[in-house]
Amino acid sequence: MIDNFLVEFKPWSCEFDVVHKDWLFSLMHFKGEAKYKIPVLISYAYINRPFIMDLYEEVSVVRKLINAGLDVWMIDWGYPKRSDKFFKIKDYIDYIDFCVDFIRNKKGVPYITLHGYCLGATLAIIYSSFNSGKIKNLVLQAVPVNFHTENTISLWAMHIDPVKISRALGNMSGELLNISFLLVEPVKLGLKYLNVIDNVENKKLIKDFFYMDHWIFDSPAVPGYVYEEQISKWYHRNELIRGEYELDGKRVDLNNITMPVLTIIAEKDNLTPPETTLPFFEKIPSKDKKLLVSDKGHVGLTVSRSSHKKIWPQAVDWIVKRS
Amino acid sequence: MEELRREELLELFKALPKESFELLLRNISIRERLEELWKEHASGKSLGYGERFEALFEEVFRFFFRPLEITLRGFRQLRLLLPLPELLESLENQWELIRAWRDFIDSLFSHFSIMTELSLGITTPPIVKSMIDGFRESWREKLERYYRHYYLLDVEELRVYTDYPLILTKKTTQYLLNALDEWEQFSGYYMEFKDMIRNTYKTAIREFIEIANSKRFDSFQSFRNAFIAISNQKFDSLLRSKRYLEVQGNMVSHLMDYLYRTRRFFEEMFENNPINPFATVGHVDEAHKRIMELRRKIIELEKRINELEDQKEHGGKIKSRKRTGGDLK
Repeated sequence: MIDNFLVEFKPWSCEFDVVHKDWLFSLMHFKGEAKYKIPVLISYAYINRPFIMDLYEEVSVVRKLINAGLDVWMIDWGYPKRSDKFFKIKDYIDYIDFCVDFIRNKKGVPYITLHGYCLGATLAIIYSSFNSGKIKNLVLQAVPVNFHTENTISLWAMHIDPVKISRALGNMSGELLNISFLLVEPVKLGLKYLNVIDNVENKKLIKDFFYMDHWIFDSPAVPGYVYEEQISKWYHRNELIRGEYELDGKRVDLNNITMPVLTIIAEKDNLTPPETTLPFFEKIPSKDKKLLVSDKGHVGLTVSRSSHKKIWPQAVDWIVKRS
Repeated sequence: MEELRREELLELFKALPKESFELLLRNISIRERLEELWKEHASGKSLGYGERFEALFEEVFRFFFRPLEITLRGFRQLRLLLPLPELLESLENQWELIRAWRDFIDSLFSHFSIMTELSLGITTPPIVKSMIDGFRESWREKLERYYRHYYLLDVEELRVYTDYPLILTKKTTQYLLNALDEWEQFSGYYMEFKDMIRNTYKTAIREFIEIANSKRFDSFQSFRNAFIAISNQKFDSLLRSKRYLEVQGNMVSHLMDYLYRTRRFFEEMFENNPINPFATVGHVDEAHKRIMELRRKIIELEKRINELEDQKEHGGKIKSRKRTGGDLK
């Protein structure tokens, strides 16, 4: 029986080069034949690993983009150590800016498509609000902007003191975050392996399940200062949607989101439910904005086979038409 | 479910993330227990809250409780630093051990002296032999002097414990006392947190038992799904309730303060000890903070230099940007 659980884990189905490394962060460039002028830069959430976008061939968002003829780049936010405690959100935004300029120069184009996922999409919005001229299209996947919801994770975040956590631990550890995410539904998530045990002969199901598990438990820590800023300014004070969030003394104005925007949300998302995104979608002045709704959860949106049949062809088509 | 062999378990441990390995094994055990309950239910017997449901609770929640309980036990580290009677007794036992060790070292020294004496007499010219003898003798004298002082200190050592609060700096003592207070608060909130989880589980199980005893589930799957659905619903209400949010928030807060103050206590002790050769985490953090600030300034300067060069060469058009870290391609 055990043999069936021994899944050989090899994330990343697409080939890429790491074209720039900068302490904690790096920029990846995927190999492929680009037919369209405008490159796509993916900014994934810094609390998980970005290979979820290319977990394996059948459910790879990256592969879909490459196969459509797009030139795909991705930021890897790395694994912060104790010495990275003092990184701030501003450092992340600065690196996006560096990557955008790097790609614009390499490709000789004035702007790019910026594709963010979860907290990586929150960073993409902040960046785009300051640099709308460099962003041709903005693609936002399960993006939290309105943090005051009745969602359990939001309620918990509103009742913790992030300064005490970063003071004691240095960084918010990935293990602690994982335990919190599982504790949101302790019986349902704690017993999800029962289905695997029942279907031990189903190799496809076992592979899907343990590939996901490898990704779930490969969680980088969040740098202490980033965590403080995220919890106190975004969760406690909901500064982003209120238009009060400042970066380096400059206010993030959502009225600057005038470029074409594709927003993808998941109905069963228990981490960033639709109400974290919808007020933002309604608020931005972009004249060319589209909302795609998946019936999956936060991660199923990216890796479920049904999303790859229903949602991603539409999303890729939207990007291609504007590239 | 067939029994897992030891070698298979090892292979599984190597192949899976640690958490998946643990949760998978726990789920195998949970499935077996649920199946036993299902068989009892299917045979027409009434279910009751007993050992088996209690064992299920432990299997489901151990994963969540363990990190907190490890921290609770970590308190022993601090307890070892207090001059408690049992610790003084254990120190006495340690002296016995040290004396035995000293006797062993004396014997070893004698052994080497004899062996050297014998071998030097055969292989070495007299002048070298006398040099080595002299060196050995001077070492012996040094050690004897050390032992004489050591015995004197032996008695003095006990006074350290009577003077304990006066030996540490005030700040150090305060961190220790505050850490103990925080631990007490944390353990209180942890107990309440655990009770809330246990009580919610019990409420869910009672409801599940009531349903199971009033109707027949036609399959193990539906029996199991009902167990999960009812538990999930009860926990969803608990985990969003006002009291739970307060308890969890306070528990995390006091836990973090306990960890921070304990670390600061040790840091203060080391930082005030002139023979301590190590930098503390606090020192290293401060260095990293300053490095980060300098790095930001360098990046900002590089950016401005690039902009100026661009303006000069390309009339403002974007040119490749250099940045600390460097291009790989």
